[in-house]
Amino acid sequence: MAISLLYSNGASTQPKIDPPLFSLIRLDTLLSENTQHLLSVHCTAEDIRLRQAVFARMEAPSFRADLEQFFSSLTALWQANNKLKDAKNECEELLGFYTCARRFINCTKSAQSVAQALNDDRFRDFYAYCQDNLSTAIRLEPAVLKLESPVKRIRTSLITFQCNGVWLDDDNEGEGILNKVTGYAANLGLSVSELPKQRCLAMPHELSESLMFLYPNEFEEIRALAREFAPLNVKDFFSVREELNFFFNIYELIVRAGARGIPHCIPSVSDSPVFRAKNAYDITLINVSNTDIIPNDIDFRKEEPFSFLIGANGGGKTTYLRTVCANLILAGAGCPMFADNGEIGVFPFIGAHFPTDETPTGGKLFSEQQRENELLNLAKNGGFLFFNETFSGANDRKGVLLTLDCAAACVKNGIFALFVTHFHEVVGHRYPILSTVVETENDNRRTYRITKNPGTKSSYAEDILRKYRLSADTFHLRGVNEQ
Amino acid sequence: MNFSLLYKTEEPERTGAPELAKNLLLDHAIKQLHTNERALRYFFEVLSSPPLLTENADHRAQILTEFFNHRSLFDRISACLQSLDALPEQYKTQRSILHTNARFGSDSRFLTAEKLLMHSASSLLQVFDRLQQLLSVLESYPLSAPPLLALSDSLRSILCADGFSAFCDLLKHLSALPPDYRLKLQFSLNDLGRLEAYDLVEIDSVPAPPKLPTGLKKLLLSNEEKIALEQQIQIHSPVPNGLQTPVNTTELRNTTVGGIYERLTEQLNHIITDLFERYCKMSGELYFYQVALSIMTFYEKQGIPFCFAQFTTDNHTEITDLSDFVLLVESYGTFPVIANDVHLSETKKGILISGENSSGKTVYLRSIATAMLFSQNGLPLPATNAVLGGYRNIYTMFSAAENPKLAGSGAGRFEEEVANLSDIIDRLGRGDILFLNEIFQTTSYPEGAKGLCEILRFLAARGVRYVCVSHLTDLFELLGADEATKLTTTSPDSATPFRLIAQ
Repeated sequence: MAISLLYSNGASTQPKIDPPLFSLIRLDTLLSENTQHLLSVHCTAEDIRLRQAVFARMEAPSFRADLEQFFSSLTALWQANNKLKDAKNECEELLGFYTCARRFINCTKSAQSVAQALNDDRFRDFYAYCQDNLSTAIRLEPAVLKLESPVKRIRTSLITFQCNGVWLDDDNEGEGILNKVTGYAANLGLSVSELPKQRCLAMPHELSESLMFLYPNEFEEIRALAREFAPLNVKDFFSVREELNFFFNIYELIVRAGARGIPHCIPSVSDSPVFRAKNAYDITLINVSNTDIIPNDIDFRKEEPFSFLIGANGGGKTTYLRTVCANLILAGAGCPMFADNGEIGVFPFIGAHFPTDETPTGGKLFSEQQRENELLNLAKNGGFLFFNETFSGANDRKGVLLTLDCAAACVKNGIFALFVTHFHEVVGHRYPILSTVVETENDNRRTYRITKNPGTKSSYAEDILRKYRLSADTFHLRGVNEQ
Repeated sequence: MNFSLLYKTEEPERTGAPELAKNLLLDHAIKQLHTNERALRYFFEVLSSPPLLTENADHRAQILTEFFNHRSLFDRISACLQSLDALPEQYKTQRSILHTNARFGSDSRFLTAEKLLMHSASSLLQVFDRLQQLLSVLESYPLSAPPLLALSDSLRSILCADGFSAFCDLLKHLSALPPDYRLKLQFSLNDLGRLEAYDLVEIDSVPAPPKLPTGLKKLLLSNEEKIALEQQIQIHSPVPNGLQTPVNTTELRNTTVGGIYERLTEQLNHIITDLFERYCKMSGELYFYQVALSIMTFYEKQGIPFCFAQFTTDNHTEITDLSDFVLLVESYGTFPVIANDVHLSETKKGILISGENSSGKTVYLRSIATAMLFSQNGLPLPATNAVLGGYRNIYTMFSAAENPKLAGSGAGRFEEEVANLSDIIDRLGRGDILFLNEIFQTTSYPEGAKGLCEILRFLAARGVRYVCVSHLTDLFELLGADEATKLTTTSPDSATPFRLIAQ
């Protein structure tokens, strides 16, 4: 069995999330493509717990340091191995193998630290693999150390270009002209540029062969090492590399959120469908500077799986939708969520409809209905759907009817859903209503809280105008600009 | 440090007052004294954005005094700075030509890199040469102005430093690479077997003789040549003449050496740009001094007493025997111009002026505004003594009734005035001074006076000073004697010029 830190029983290929959802809720701006891919694949409750175990340990700086060390040595090994695979001649093969061997030792040692720190029966395959490699590394290390000086000699030489050819020499003394120019200028008090690092160049074929000719004994020593140890068992290490990237990418998000004062938690895992959170944040807002990110509660249970969300334009409805959706995706994939605490069940499908332009085959309403049917079908075996102003292409009367029909279909099929709409007429039916309520902070800033209540058909425009001191009775509060 | 003849220290970002010189009729007056259009345009551009930092005013005054005392210095420095300031454009154009040739011509990347390197090296030598000329001029005068002494010291720190001549020798070498030369390239391979670091250690102008250098082990050659050479190495014999360089070693040379040439060029370009930034922006600034010297010459020829303002950090302002510059130029000695004093203090932040029509109220207001503007710009003002306390921005506002652009009814004009004043007040801050000339006279006088009084009090409370000419008699009663200095123009008879007296 391939070793894995993500899957308890082999990797799944079953899709859970429609990839465009990441861009609809702006998670694509925060996460790498690899992470989005791993988040969009189905995972079981056991997988969620396995990943949570890694994230829980990542809270400890020492484990994080071990993991980073492992990742960086693994990346170095991966690069060296790729180079070795691409070797075009014996010189490149031997130098490539030597580098691989050196990096294999480092990687194995750091993997061992991680395996020990995980200390959990769920990671036994990973531990066993590390143990195997460690014994190889112990045998390899003295031979590699012995070759350090010969390899250093090979790596530093002098080329002379002149009219009668190009010459290679092991004499390597003298100061570079670029250094001289920089030194003179700095000495005269002139500004010198920090030039970007030199571009690494592929070694020309002729140079490789010439090096072997210049240093025959040194190459023979490397050849002996390769005869004894090649090939190294590195393939399974590389499958872990992508998984580590996933953990780091999510952890990086946690750090960025922390810098904005946003907490995170590891939700409890439930065997029944549920999604609850206390003070959950819209993590996608961390990209927007100077914005107060207001937390809201989330409560979707088997007994009440569906909610409408209504409220004024600019009142934070879409923000709330993103809060629920982004945290659901993260928590459902075993990642921490951005809230004080939470509870997550397994949802085999997560989908959303956001307003789009008309399709070539029909009008906007037609395409919205098509998408609604598609989503209801995909989610019928236990999914979570998000509708953002769906049916806004219809007139008010028809739009309300279609919206209520969609709600009925969700409830009938046990589909969890959050439906953001500007149709206030949905109030007064049997569905729970979330609505935005404007609150005033002590420093006169406006905030929105999402609360569950019967909803209201009135507009919030007057409140908002007063808060911005744009109503007639508050003009006198506007001060004169101070310089 | 970038040298400027106008600014010792970089000014905080601010908006200028492009209409100020025009409102004060300075454009017309100064054109009587100087005729070079280009210089005048530059002068008014500078004049309209007076420095907020007094050290910049002092900087200009010191340079202007030096130029006034040594007239030939100005001409010689002008010649040097003009030839120096022409270099950036030349340099840019030549580089652009080389790049264009590289793009559309037959030059290889290596050849282009080589040409650019030679061009950069020779350009830097040229910059050094021009700086040397400037230093020679500065050193031939007994300078006392700190800004010019600092410029001289700065040039000396480069041109007379240890290592300067060695640097020039290296530049000469790089500026004239011979068509056939030997290059020695030091390199190292990284862990992934790629050429990681490489630099030239030698560029020999004389082609090396076709023999093996000491320590040679192997050539980058074709297989047959390798075999032949192997035998030669074994017997330690010299390599025969006429060895061919394999094709892709040319590519290796082009990539590595070409890359180093590009980096060298980039570094030289950075140094050249730095020198351009430091020293090549001054010739244009001399236009300001050209016009300023005409003003000083006018004072000198007309026997008009003049002085440079001294700046204080308190809010006290005292100008003695101040004449209106515009009137002085207009009269050109044909009629007497009455001088007046100016006094503003921490407590009395404003001056109110009243008087009969054509009695000189506006002239007085203009003379103060001009004095402030000249002083901030480091120009001499027609007064015997001037002490100015911490002024920042100067704003003027003249009556809408006198502004032909503002047509329409009285009510419309008043609204326009209020809107304009509101716009100015939005920008006003502590230390600014506002000159108001007969505003709010298109509405009923009592209402205008009351409104203006409240505004003036508001301004004073915000640390803004003002000089206000007004016919609104109520204004003079509403504002207390402890709030503003109230002056009125008076004359005992029609033959005697008007004088200002305290009310």
